[in-house]
Amino acid sequence: MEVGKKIQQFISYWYLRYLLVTELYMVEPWEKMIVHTLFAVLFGLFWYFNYSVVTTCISQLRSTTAHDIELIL
Amino acid sequence: MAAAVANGCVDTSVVNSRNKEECNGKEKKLLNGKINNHRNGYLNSKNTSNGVNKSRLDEEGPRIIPKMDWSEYDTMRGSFEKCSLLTAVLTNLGLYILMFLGFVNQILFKPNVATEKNREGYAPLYDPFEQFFSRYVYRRVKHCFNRPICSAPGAEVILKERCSDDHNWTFRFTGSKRRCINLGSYNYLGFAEGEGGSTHADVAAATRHFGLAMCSSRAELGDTALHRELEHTTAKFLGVESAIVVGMGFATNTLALPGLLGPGALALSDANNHASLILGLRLARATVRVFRHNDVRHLEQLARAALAEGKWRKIVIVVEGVYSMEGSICPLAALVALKKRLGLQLYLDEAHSIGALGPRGRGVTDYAGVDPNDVDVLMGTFTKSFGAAGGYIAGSARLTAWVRAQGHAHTYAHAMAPAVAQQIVCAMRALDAPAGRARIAALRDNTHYFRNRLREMGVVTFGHHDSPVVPMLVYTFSKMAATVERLTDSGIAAVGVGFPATPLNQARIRFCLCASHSRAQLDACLAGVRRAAAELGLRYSRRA
Ligand SMILES: Cc1ncc(COP(=O)(O)O)c(C=O)c1O
Repeated sequence: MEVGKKIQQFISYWYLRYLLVTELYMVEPWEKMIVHTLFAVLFGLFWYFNYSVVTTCISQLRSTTAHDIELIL
Repeated sequence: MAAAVANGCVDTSVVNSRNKEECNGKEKKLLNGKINNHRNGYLNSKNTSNGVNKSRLDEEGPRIIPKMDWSEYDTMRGSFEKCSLLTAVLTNLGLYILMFLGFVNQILFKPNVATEKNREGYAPLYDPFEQFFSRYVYRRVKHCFNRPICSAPGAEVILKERCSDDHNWTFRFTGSKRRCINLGSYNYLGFAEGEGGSTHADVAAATRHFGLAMCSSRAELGDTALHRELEHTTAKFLGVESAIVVGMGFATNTLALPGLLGPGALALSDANNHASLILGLRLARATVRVFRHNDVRHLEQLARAALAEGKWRKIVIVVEGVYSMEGSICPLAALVALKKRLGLQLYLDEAHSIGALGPRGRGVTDYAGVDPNDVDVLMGTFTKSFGAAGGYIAGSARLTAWVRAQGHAHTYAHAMAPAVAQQIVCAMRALDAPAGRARIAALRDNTHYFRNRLREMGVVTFGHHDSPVVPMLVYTFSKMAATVERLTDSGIAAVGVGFPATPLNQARIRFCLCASHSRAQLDACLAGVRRAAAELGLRYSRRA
């Protein structure tokens, strides 16, 4: 119970800070939704880019270097 | 057209040659025939070093005036903590989001305002950006501004509560009232007391004797013994020869400046000067060059460059005593020294400092220990410390006679209401009695207490330690609105200030202290601010 309340407080505190810093505190609810969605989409794209491009590149790089090292040894 | 150009050319060359003469014989210089007749004070000044005066007297022909040594003077730095890069970036990002949402909103919905019709061929009434800003940024936080009150704005004020059903396009009254501690009025000395105040009986008597309003200008039928007494009292209060009073402070500046300056004059104006000074300088058609806020080095640079140009009939420094948005105090001693050394003139607007600064409440001259006669034009308003309305211009008798004749206020503006004049006279008299001096001391104590506590709290405050205006930086509009809401909920009425009055990303809350606040009231305010700062994350200060 106590812990649940604490977590809720923590979340609502940081949600307020997020609203304040992005100036969403003073806009109308539907405008808030637009910007939330926009942020979500941006974050999603960023995540997908990291997932699909960056991670595959890195794993490729790693496998090639591992292979090279094996060859050298 | 050609003739006009030719005329212009002739004019400037005449002006130039006369200026050269003036530069060569500085002692005979009548740079400021209208205003400056304090030449004795100028030569024997204690502020400029002896060597300088001697060389000025002895030498003929071109001279090099030595640079000012600013380390000798208190340049009233005040504290202006810079915000971190992160804060600046986030504030700007927030503004972009607001602008973006504004555009979306504008496209989707018709704004709930009157529109201009049948105006083909006319210039639009409003600037498009201003219109956009006021509809889609200002409107969203409008509930924090222009709040109706229903009591005298003394140490406490009663707010009339209102709410909006359509996102602040329109408001309606809820019918309830809320008593708040008033940190929003420029009532520095607590003379705005309403009924039962110290000046009440005298003001009522004056109204009965002279009537409510004069219904005419001073130059025509609006002059009474009370007005003359007020001018006399003001001059005595300030320690100068003469004064002229006007019924409105803003108009004092805008109407007197065109009388004093003309197209051949150069005004060196502080970057944070009040709108009335800026408007006055524009109406005067004087050339204006702006120096960085309170930066005497920049001012000296501009002044020397202007002197070297040699084409100005007069060069006037235009500053304020206390800047109401920054809470800073002008470095008057340094300005007077500079003015004397370079032979400039000084126009000082004491709107916020008169009454509120200095051990005797005589304003920034008193505070900086400067002889008021060294300032060419002393301007100030009665709107703040004296709990009244109106403004004054004070200085030499020649100056006021000139302003009476050439400034437009004396001839065309409505004379001050007798009740207002009487209030000012009473307040000025009270300041010389022990009770009045106690008010000045109380204001100073409250200011120091409040500023120290805020600093300990870790919020960013601007300005000088002694200034009774205390701006607390919150940077974004949302934080400003949220802070004002939280403070109102805790029973504190404070003013939020945003864009047109401050830079776009430096919204702030402005606390104005008052002599009649008790310690308990200030502590209640500080507790409210502390709660809001913790909840909203206002502890921006990175000072230890
Ligand atoms: C520096 C300065 N000058 C002039 C004025 C105008 O005074 P009033 O409000 O009496 O018109 C103000 C008022 O805010 C001010 O701050």
